Amino acid sequence: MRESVIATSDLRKTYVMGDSAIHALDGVSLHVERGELLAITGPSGSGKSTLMNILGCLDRPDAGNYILDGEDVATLDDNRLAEIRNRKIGFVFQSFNLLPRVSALEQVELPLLYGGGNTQGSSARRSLQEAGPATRAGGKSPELSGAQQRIAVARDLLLQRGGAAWRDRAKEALIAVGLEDRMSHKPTELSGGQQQRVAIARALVTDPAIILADEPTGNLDSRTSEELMALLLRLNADRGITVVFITHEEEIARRTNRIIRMRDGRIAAEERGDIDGKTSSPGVAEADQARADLSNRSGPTFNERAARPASRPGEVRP
Amino acid sequence: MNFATLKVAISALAANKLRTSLTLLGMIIGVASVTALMSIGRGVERQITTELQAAGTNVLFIFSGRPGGSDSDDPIVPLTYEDALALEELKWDGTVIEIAAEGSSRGAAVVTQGRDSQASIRGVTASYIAVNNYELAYGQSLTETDLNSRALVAVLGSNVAADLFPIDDPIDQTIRAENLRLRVIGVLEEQGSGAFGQSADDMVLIPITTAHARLSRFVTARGGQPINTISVELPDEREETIDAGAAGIRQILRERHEIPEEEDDDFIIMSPKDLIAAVSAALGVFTLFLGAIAGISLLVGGIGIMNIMLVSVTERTREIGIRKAVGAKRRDILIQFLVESVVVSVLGGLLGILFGTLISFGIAQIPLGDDGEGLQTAVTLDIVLLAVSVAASVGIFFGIYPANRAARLDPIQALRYE
Repeated sequence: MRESVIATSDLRKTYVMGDSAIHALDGVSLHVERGELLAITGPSGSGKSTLMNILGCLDRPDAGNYILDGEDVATLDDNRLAEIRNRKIGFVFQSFNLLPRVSALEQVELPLLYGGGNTQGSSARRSLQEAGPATRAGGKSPELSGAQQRIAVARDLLLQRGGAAWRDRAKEALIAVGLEDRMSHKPTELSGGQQQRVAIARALVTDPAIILADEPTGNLDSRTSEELMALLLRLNADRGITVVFITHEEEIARRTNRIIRMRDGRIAAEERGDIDGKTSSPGVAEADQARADLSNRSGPTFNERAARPASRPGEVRP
Repeated sequence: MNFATLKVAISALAANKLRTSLTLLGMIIGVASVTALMSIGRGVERQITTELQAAGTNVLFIFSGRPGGSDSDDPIVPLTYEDALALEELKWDGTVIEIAAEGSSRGAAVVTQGRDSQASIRGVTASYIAVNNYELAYGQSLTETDLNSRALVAVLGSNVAADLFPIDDPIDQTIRAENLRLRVIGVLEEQGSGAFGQSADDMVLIPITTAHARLSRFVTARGGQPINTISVELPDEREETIDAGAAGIRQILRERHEIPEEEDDDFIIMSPKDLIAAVSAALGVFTLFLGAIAGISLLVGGIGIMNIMLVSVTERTREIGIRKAVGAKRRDILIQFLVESVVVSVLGGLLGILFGTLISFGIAQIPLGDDGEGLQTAVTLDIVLLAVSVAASVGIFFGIYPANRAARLDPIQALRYE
């Protein structure tokens, strides 16, 4: 059995609205293994957003335990939670949430900036520890393997802090999402899909324990959504990064190892996804396909996007 | 805080150029008015101090009155010419060099053939001109002989001489003032406006004995001739010399005025140093007062910063949410916004000093009075330091509330903010 990266027991969260109390989470116990691909689904009001906020350390549960990557984070104060978010969690949001007027490269550097010097040592050590298993997972990659990248990053971090090392890490993350030729572009100069890939690079750059993707394709057309999913699946398959989707789209939920169905603040059902957790071949095959797609085209240019917004629903690129 | 924080602050400010420049303008106006007004105050202070020093710092002035802090109700014995004569004994051992007395002045019309002038007639001792550092343009000074003989002679101030004798040589001419016919024996150099408000240029100096005999025969209760001020010239301006001189004078005058041991003096001995200290203290308060008035506009500038920062925090709620989601702590956000407001206020402060200096330079160029000289202004280092530190404090003070508000935002709410 693999090590668990998320372990919650009996999480509870209640919101008081006037006289009535809403039990947004009513006893959620969840275990996620390292490298797992998970989907949390459910109708609105089912508590999946509250669960994501707590899993993402944006919020604290009223009761219950939450061990994230070996650390008890249920009762930490705001500053400690910020540190945990910085080190262990990468967010991908539906609305991209990039900073305005800031280049892609600087967007990706942002978490490193807030990580400062003190947390990087541990992150670098962890990178070294994980380098072993990651070598097997990344073996098929034609780029730098995950292990090589991590060793390079770790070496940089041990030798120097900040500045050039941050820049190199941010560049590597952008290369990993296929945006090597868009590094100096600002959000307004990028298509929706490209913006979301910047967000993924930003989530990736601190080498987090989990990536939380909250409706990551919600604002994208189906073609771009497909590319984005493929990218996230590939990152999971190649690098062994734990990815948790929060989505109400069945189509997306089905493409994971495991689906958690929420209802009324509880886990109502748990199913296998279409990708079997034990045999990772389908995911890898899909990732290879995605890579082929990415190398053929790197998304629409700014002009194409201006002529035809990528986020318009139902549109398919010929 | 580091270079990256500064860069973020500057790029955020650059993103809203119009808004930033309007906020800057508020700071610039505030700091510029503080700088300009304080420079005027400081300039006046310097001007007056310089004039006081020109009178000589080795001179003690004695006049009637109770020293500060005295609560005595006893009548004051007026200073007399005889008091001044009694001080002569201090010259024997060199405690003092020279003693001069001046009687009260009286304004009078002074006339000569077909011309007239308004002057103030003042009876003085022979040493008066030398002790007060007045220079003679031509002719000669009053002498002891003139004093002893109560001679009808006069030394004219430069304005009086110019009015009465624009072309002719005034020496040995006769002028009439009140009921006196005076022979002009000398003319003073132009002195400029005096530190005590009365210019020697408008005076007609006559022997104090003549003044007493011919103009005012008033005699004090003790039978002395009343005088205004006694000036005492000391050998040098060292503190010991001044203290010794003052002590000697005090002893003699107390004896003459029969002041009992426990009573306060009924005269004031003032050294120019005391005077300069007192005057600059008063002018320093005046300068600060000007600064405080101008500080109101600085306050308004600071409120402008606070206002704009609050708008900025609201506008950038989502950005704050994003930063928090990727790991920014409260402190990071607080510093980010604080740096922004401090950058605005310090930049405004520096530009304000620049404009304030220009304004103060401009004010100095405006001619005032008949001599065509402008008000003196001085932008000194302390004004610059004060302006910059006040500007920075304004930035911090008015920035802390908006920055704190930003720092305390809930990341979930902030991320949802549209």
